[in-house]
Amino acid sequence: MPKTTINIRRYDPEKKQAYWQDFKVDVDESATVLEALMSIKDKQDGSLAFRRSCRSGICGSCAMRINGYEQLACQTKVLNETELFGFLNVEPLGNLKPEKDLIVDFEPFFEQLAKAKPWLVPRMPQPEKEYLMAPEERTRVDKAADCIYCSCCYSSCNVAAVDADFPGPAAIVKAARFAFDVRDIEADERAAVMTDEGMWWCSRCQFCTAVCPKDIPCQEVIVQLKNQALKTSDFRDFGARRTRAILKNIYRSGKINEFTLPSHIEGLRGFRQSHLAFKLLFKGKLPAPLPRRIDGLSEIKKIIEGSRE
Amino acid sequence: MRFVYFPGCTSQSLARELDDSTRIVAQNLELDLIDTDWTCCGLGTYEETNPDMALALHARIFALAERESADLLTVCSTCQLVLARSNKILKDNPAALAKANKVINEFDLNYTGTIDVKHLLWVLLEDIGIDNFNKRVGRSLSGLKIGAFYGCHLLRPEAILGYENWRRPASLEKVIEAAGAEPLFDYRGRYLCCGFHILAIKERTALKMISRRLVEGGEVNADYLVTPCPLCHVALDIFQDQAGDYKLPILHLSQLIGLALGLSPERLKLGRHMVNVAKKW
Repeated sequence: MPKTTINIRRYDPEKKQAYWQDFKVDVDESATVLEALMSIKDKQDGSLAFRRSCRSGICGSCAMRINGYEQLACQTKVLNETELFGFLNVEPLGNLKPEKDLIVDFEPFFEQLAKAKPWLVPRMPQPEKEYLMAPEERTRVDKAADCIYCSCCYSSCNVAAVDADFPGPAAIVKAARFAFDVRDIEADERAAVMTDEGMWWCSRCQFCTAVCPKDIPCQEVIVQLKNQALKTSDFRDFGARRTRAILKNIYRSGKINEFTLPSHIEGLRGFRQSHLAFKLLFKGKLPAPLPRRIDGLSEIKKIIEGSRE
Repeated sequence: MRFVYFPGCTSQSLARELDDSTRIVAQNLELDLIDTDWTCCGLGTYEETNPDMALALHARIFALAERESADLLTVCSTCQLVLARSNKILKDNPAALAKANKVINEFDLNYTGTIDVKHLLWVLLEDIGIDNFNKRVGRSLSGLKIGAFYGCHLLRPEAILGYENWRRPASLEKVIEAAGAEPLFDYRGRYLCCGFHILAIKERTALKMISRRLVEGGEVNADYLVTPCPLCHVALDIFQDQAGDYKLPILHLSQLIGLALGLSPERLKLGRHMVNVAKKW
């Protein structure tokens, strides 16, 4: 088989400079990107630095950005990538600073994770033997508990890319993992803490769900924790207010009312965008202050009221 | 071809030009758009409030479409994902379907899981077909460089949307090419997030995201960006001047289709955008 070219985004810590370097490797049909990297390190350039350990998709060490997306190198086949993209680019994980070549500083990831209070706060007093957990109760946390801390989600997060305060998917999923564990007694507190830490700043870009090597449906879990938060929310958080305000809009007319929504969310501060109202008026698309109600509004009201029981 | 039209709330006000241009383009492409008593998809917030309520509200929309024996046509990436997700749950989970039907049966509505939710982009490429579209193209946008801005919710998660490979999308670029323009596969923002959903929640962060997507457009010298999502359009167009000085016009997909078909910019309401769509064709 002809050699495959792999373009690697390296980082020189002494010169503090990133640069591309390409290598040509012999690969067979089943070769993974990790195997290719190890072959390069072994036979061509021993200075190539990257993290790896189990090479079987469970330790999370070899997470990196392959052809633009976060993946585990040990679970990515070279030929799949070259067939799909026509090239193979390997870069370090996103949103984290490179330390050398493909190795990044993981501290910020773990700092975010700490926000989730990532340990069980058990019901006391402790039982004589073990805490009992029914199979269906365990199912509730199955997926969230699968996290291997690889940072694929955090590194692909479009919000974390611009906002270092955003906790990121892994932290929120961790908080949810314990919030929904029947042995844990801090479900409401965990949801409230994650609200304060910025859970609602998630822009729903869906990258976390898409890139997770353990197939954790991160977005679904985040929505579940938001649902938990709303049960005891004081609605000071704009994210919680927005969800409540949208439902209010729907209850009143069946559709969103952009005219009143900003003030419902931000109160008087909502009016700082009111210059937009004039621009929109001029362009003939100012939202109506009193939108037309849908015909079946009574049905909507019944559905919403019925769900409150 | 008949479709139950799901315009979505944004196309009724902040992006009125989307509704206007969609209807004109549909007429031209012989797509029969059926109007129903639809309600907001919820933008993903119904699920945060109460997952069962979300399914019931969506089941009502699907039941109304099923009555017309036609699939739903969306023109918004978020409407597409939110509705497709609920539809998948109702189709895959009989208990969830029964629960939702119990609620809407009260209004003489019932959903049996027979309709699909499709975005205009997919309808154009699959149901109409690119060859048919090519035959109808009346104006070439050659010389124009147009960046595709998919909007996250039309690409991920692939398990729900199921139209194209989320890592290597090409559908929008096909339409750009068919219109005679040059697609920009190197436009880094094409599959990234505009930040719309946090505009009202953490504006500073959303504006940074909008700014990045526009800077990335500048990197590839895009003349226009085109998006199949009016929420992305609100972020990239209405909030463009708050994100910075970019002067990058944003087209709706329906407008791009319309321009290619030879329809006039006035009929496609290109004048309603905040960032002036200078005529470069």
